[in-house]
This record gives sequence, C-alpha cells and structure tokens, in this order.
Amino acid sequence: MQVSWEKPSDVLVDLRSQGYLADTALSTAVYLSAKMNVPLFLEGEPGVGKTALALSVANAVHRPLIRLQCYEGIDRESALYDWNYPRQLMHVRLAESFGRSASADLEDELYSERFLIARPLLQAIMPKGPAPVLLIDEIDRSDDEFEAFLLEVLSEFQVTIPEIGSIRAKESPLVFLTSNRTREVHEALKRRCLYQWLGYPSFERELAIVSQVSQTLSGTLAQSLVRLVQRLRQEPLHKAPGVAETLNWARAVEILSTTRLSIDSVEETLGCVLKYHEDIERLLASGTDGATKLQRILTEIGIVDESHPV
Amino acid sequence: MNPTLYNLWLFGRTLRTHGFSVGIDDMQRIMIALNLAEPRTWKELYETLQPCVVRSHMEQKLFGPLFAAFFGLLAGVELDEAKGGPWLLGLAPADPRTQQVTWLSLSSASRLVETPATVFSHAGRASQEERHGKLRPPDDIGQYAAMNLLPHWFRSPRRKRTLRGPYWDISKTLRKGLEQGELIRIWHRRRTMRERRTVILWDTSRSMESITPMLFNFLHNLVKQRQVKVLSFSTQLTVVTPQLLNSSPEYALNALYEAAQDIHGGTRLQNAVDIAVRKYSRWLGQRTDVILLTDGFESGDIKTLSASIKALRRRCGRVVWWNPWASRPGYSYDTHSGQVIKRHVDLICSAGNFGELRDAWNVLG
Repeated sequence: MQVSWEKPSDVLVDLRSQGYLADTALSTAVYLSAKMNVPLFLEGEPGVGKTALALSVANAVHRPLIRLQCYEGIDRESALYDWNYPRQLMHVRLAESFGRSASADLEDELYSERFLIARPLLQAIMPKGPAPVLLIDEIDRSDDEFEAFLLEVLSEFQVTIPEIGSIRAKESPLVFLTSNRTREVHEALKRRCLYQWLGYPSFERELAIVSQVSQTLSGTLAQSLVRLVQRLRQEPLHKAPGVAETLNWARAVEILSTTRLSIDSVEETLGCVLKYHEDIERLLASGTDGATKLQRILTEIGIVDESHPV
Repeated sequence: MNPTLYNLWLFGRTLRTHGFSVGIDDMQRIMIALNLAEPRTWKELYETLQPCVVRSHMEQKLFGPLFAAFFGLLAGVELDEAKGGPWLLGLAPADPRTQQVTWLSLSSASRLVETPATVFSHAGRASQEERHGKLRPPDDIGQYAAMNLLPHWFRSPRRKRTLRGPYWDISKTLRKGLEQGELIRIWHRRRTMRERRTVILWDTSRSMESITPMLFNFLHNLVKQRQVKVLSFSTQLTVVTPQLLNSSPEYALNALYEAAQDIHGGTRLQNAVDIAVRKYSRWLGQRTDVILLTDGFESGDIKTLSASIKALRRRCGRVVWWNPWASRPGYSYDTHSGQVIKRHVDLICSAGNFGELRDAWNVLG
C-alpha cells in the first residue's frame, strides 16, 4: 500500500493524532507491514486494542476500513463472494418474456460481475476507490479450512472465481489479522504475516490513554482507576480487565460524577471491569479478618485509608 | 557474505536451536525490513527483527533475552533486555537434541527413512546440512534404556485381626509347612510395599510437536519399566500402552501412528479428561497418580475444564502436571487453561528434557 510514512516514528505520530497511543514496537510493525505489503498478525488478550489499531490506521491513512468478522463455520461464500440468485432469476424471467431462450450468451450474462455480491475479501481486493485497510477479526474463531483458504488471498492478494477468472489486487490492501489466542493459528498462515503481541500497557501508558479518552476525569481519579486495574490484573481472574474495560470504567465514573474512589463506588461499578460472576464473587468474598479481598486491595494500593476501615 | 548477513544468519540459527522456525524467507524478510526501517539503536533493531521472526507469544518472550545475549556478546555491551535474565552470562549451550532430525536414533532412522511413521517434526528447524550431512545426534537409545526410573510405592492395606484371631496367610503357611515337612509355624498376612499405578495423559497436539519425539522415547522406556498406562490425546483419547510396549522403537512408533490418528491435531484437553474419568475410571483410584503431560494450551471449550479437572482430582491420588515449557526462561502461565490446570493440580514439574522427565518421575516416588 502506498503510504506517506518515511520512518516508523511517522506511524507513531499519525496514530497519536487519531487518539491511539502505540509504543515504538507496534509502530515499527505497522510501518513494516505497510511498506513490505505483508499482513500484520496481532495477537493478545481481548480488549488490549487490536481492533482499535486497525480503525486508527485506516483513519490515519484516510482509507476505508473493511472488516471481516470471523466466526465458527465461516466459509468462502461469506468471506469472498456470492452470486445474487434472486436477481439472476429475475433476469432469466425478463429474458424469457422478451422471447430470448436459454443460450450460452444468457449464461455468460448471468455469471458476470453484475450479479456478483462482493463480500469483504473481494471488496478489499477489488475496491471501488483506493486500496482499503482490511481487518480480519478474531481469526482464531474460524475453522482450519477457512485458514487454508486465506493462505492464497494473503500471499498473492489474488482470488479465483471459476466463472470469471482470477482477480488480482491492483494495490495491496493493508491487512490486519487479530486473534485472542483461544487456539493456535496454523504456522503456514503466521509465516505469511508479521507478528506482534499486544500485551497490557504499563501504568504510565494506560494512564495516558485514560486521560486522553476521558478528558474531564481528574488526574487523581484517573490514577486511582488505573492503579486498581493494574493491581486487579495480578489477581488470578478468569478474565483480567483489558484497556477497553478500563476505558468503560472511566466513562462510567464520569457519568456517575464520582470525584473519588471509595469501596462503595468500586463495588457498584465493578461490572464494568470484571465480566465473570466468579471473579466478582472472589473479590467480594470475606476473609478470616472480615474484610473482602477488594477491600484489602484498595487498602494495599492506598485508595482506602487503612486507619479508616470501611 | 558480508558481516551483517553473516551475523543475521548466525542469529537465525541461534533462534532455530531454541525452537524458532526461521527459514530462508524469514531471513530475506529481515533484510528488507532492515533496509526499510534503518534501525540506529539496539531498541530499533530489536523492534525491526522481532515481528519478522516471532510467531507466538511464547517466542516473543524468549526473543528478548536471546536478542540481548546474542547481540550483547557480539557488540561486547550489556543490553537492557538481558538484565536479571538467565542469559546474561552468554548463550546457553545449545541442546543437541533440539537439532534432532528424526524421532529415532541414527541406526533406527536409517532403516526407517521410507516409512510414513518416521516423523520429521524437527525437519523444518534443521538446516540442509543437518538433514543430509553426517552431523547427526549420537545414538542414544541405549542411554534412554539405562535410565533409572524408580518405582512409586504404596503400603498395602492393613489386615485387621478377625474376631477369632489373627488373619492367617493360609497359602504361605501351607507352602512353608510342605517345604519343611510339618506345620511348625502359622504365618500371618503382612503389609507389603506395592507399586502405585500411574496414568499418563499425553498431549500429542501440534503445540507439543517439537518435543513429542523426546516424549515418545521417554514413554517407550517408561512403560517397559513401570506400571504405567499411557493415553494419548489431541482431538481424541487413545490408549497407546500396548503400542508403546513393543520392544522395538520402530514398531512402537508405527503402531502408535496406526492407533492414534489425531497426532499433531488440535488440543481438546477438557474432552480428554472427561473421557478418561468416564471411560477409564477402572484405572483410577486413590492409589493411582494421573500425570497431565501437556503444555496447557486448550483449543477447545474451556468453560468446564475446571470442573473436569476437579472431577479427575477427586477420583485419583494425585494429579501432576508435567509442563515441558515450565523451565523455559520467561515462561509464565498466561493462558486461561494453563491457569485453570495450575489451580487444580497437586504438583507441577518441568518436563522439557530427559533429565527433567527423569527427575519429575522420581520425585513422585
């Protein structure tokens, strides 16, 4: 894809202008992916900003974003193309009413681009405007057969439609594949991509993200929120809170006009951060000293004063 | 070959000995990436190389220390990434078995090269010279056979005295009496030491591919020496003890492949544990240890994994997790399934090489 970036730091600046705070490793990977025309395979826990990265890059390079959401059972027809059967039928009936009989010409007409419904992958290879940014989201949910099908598309940016022939992209789209690592994606697919692991951000970077998104939130409150989320990630939870959960929580606190975190306000809004009943139960279960785990954590990180137990 | 290319080639080979699948394409990609990104600092060089050669989260963790050690040694500087790491003192000596080309020793492999059961799972990581040249790992079948694997004992149940007197060992009393010609002593039953049974759930999925050959050799020797039942699983559970009991490793390997059709497939740990509890409950009991020989990556449903392992735990003496990657530097239990298993097992042992496997077995005794 033709992009105006001269060096990896340009990506960093462009992403920052779109409200996405990337680190240098990620910006280098995006830069190399765009310049080398190689898809970027993003892997990480849910909610760390994999999908948001593709959105931000699309906005930064002023290209449309085409998203293909993978799911169990997704097939070639849902991802690549399908024939518009009702329209083909109507065309045949119209031809009959005009006295045309079934012939090779009519058959050729039926299987022409007019009757082709382009699905996300074909849209990305045969775009109406400039080459888009293609996001293949949650590839780990799809089946092995679909992964094998993607091999041709991602290595050559070319697809073959038996009735029409091979279609090759004039300009390669910028492709992002994301995975939540619920299963290992096949090595053959990974070989065709650059790989980047997105982990949970450091305290400073997460604080900067929260401050950028929730600008009315006070600095102290944002710090408390982030510190608590960072501490919760050290707990053995079913699902550790991601950045998306932190941002949701910051928005919730903003809406509730909370000025300071207390044990009550945290308990009321805990559902924004933890998404499993067992996790919430674990934090709210009383210990031998009568205090809950959550109270101990809040005391430990200095949000609740130890001398004034709740 | 210019020095940069030579060093990168050397670095690629270093990565390969540590399990990375770095090929010619990757080296070409690295050269293009270096020309594009023009790194000027170590950090920039790291960030340029890393997306080109890393393929998984585990490799990502290992890449930092390896990079720091290799380029640190090369440049004679101490790089930040290596601080506190075990690689600070230089590269760890390469394990010769990681370059192993076939599942079997040199003598066995040469006879088997045409058969489908000779699995070249390391072939992608071995160079052309290693595949075809004379440099081969030593014939170590004899070494495995000599491995001393201790039995796991338990004391037989206490025999209570009956109301009419002590519990007689009638057969022994008669035997001794016949030996001596007259009944001069009545023998009683005693508590003896008997061998515990062990059931091993062996993960043969793709994620374990790189160490499956070594595990095959280990288990092949273990089943001959001790009371062990081995069930392999990837997408389905298969009893492979009879196959492993073949005295010849070649036949054992062929038989294993015929019996277990799912080797190198996905991992269905929860499914395997469920079936083991349901179908092979006759092997389970308080005098049985269950060993989960897996890396803990579950590609199936993990919602009920916790309940499945709890059920297994209730039905046997101990559940032990042998994790091949546990001793790798920088390894942590990140996956959900890994955390679930860790929570419910009695003991975790690293099982990444023969020494660790032997220690892990002997520690259960």
